[in-house]
Amino acid sequence: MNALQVTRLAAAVCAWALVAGCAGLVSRQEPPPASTAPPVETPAVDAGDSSPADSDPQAAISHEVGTPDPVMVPCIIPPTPKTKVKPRAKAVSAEPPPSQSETPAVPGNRPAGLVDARVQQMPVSVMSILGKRVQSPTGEDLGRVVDVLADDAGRVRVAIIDFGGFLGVGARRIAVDWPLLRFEPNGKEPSLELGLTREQLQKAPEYKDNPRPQTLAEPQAPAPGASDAKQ
Amino acid sequence: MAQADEKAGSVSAAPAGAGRGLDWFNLFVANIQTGFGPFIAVYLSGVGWTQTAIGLALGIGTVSSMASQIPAGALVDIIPDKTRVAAFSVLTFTASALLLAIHPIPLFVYLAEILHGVSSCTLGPATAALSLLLVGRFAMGLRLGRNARYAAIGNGMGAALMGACGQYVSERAVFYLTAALTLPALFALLPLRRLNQADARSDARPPTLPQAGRGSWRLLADRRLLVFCACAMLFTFANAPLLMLISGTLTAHGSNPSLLIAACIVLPQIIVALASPAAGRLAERHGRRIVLIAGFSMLPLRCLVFAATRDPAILVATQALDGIAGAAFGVMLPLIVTDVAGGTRHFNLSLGAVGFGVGIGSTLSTPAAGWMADHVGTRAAFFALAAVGALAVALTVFVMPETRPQPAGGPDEATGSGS
Repeated sequence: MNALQVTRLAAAVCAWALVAGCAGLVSRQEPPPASTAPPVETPAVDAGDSSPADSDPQAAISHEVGTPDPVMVPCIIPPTPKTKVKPRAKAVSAEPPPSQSETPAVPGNRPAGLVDARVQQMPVSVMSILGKRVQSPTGEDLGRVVDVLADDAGRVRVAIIDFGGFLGVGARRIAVDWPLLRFEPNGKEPSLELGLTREQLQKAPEYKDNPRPQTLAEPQAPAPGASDAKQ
Repeated sequence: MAQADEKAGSVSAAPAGAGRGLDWFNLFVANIQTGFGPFIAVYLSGVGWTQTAIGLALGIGTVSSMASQIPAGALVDIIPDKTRVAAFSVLTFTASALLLAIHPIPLFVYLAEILHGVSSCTLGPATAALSLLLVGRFAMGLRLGRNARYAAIGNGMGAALMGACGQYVSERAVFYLTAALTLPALFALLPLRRLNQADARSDARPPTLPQAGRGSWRLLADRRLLVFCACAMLFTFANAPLLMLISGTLTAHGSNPSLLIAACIVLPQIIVALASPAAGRLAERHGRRIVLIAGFSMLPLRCLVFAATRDPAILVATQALDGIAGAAFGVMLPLIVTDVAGGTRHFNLSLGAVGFGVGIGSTLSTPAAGWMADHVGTRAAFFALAAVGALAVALTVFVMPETRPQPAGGPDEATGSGS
């Protein structure tokens, strides 16, 4: 009995010591539940949160770059050349949220890099990508998306698919060109389709955290900066 | 002494059914451990975890189990009731499986990894200690052979069960299944409950054993233990990454990779189940070294075959050699520690120390082999691992002493070889 308490105590102490240690080391992110992305955007734009899981909705916005919608926000464009204007999705709810202490009036007193942001509703459905299963057009299971790579303009270029294996043993990560993915965020079970077969994925080279990875891409439209690779 | 008329691991002095109980316990624990394997990475990526976060979680698990090997061994040594330690460890598994299944947020996942890492370190020594209590030193080889057999059956079953569960039910269900499987493991411990009382009187036995009075540090500095630890570390270093390397090859070239990888996991377990009792018998009859050498030699052989071919059928068939090596190693590890430290107050500490060495070997090897495979090629990695495996064999042949207790050590020397 006494001995049991000793064990229990020791285990608890070890566990909590380690938890505390790790918690200190790590800036944490919460993985979103597998549900569809919430339509409401968080007010704080650059909270410094680098978690791709969290920044999904924001990422989705900043990727449709190039066509800045009628921007009625007099926000400063951050001096960094790679960032473009955040296209404010057509403001459905125009009232500024009360939490926003900074009114968009004085651009001058805002530190560089900060933009004005408001809570708005996404005009279209969006979906969570990380962890989503990917199917071929014929319904084969091709694995799941485990990472998403963007270029210096913030455009998503590559999806990393975790392919194959059994109980986590022997899975390979394959880089595929983003346009090969087809999205269906509107169904009650949002799904991802990849226009490839198992054989094609099987033959592709494994992704090894290379900044210029070899990706599977359609030959006629080779993505600049990423060579299409077929063995 | 009581062991004289024992048959392979069954019991006479211990409570009825205790031997069977231990069999089932080994089986279910192995079942449970399958759920905590690399599958966690699949599950977490399925709930939207990033690769970095998953790597961190698994790293926390590794670090906590490495850090607790030796302290956990020492802890088990000072707790008299080993059955309770085993039961408590299993309950901790239940908790961590449920934490993972119910709410995989980072805090809970890290906590689950830590709980699992620590309680694995108490469970292994506790199981070995229960085996020792059950049969005594001189039938330990046979008992450990049985343990390894049932653990292998459990591993194979677990892989099949959890694979099917992940495929057809859901990935989350795998952890509910894992938690559910802790219940039969607890039931299996019931007949072992009275083992500690039954053995309380025979606790007076240690004085007959040569090392009874040694201090823990002197014991850990025992040459046999150190040499074996080095052998075990080298073996694990060369052994651990092989499955990863060949399953990568299979995923790239096989026609049904998942099935082939499943075969690569299950086939060795079948061989271990078949060969472990023989390994235990052989060790009692002809000594530990011969079994160890035979088992370790399979490893370079396997590496060379893997380096030579990519044919999926041959790759899978060669995994049978892993079964032989696994049977030899799985039985010899606790057996040699029993030879060196059994009956002393530091048996579990010594097990923890060897476990620590093995843990270092396997922790370092996977990244090392992965790096080699990426930079100089898979074939070169196989050759390098073959060299490390050959080093383990050489060390065993030329340096490792025989540890089988000499007949003078106890009145019933012929026990082990009797059956």
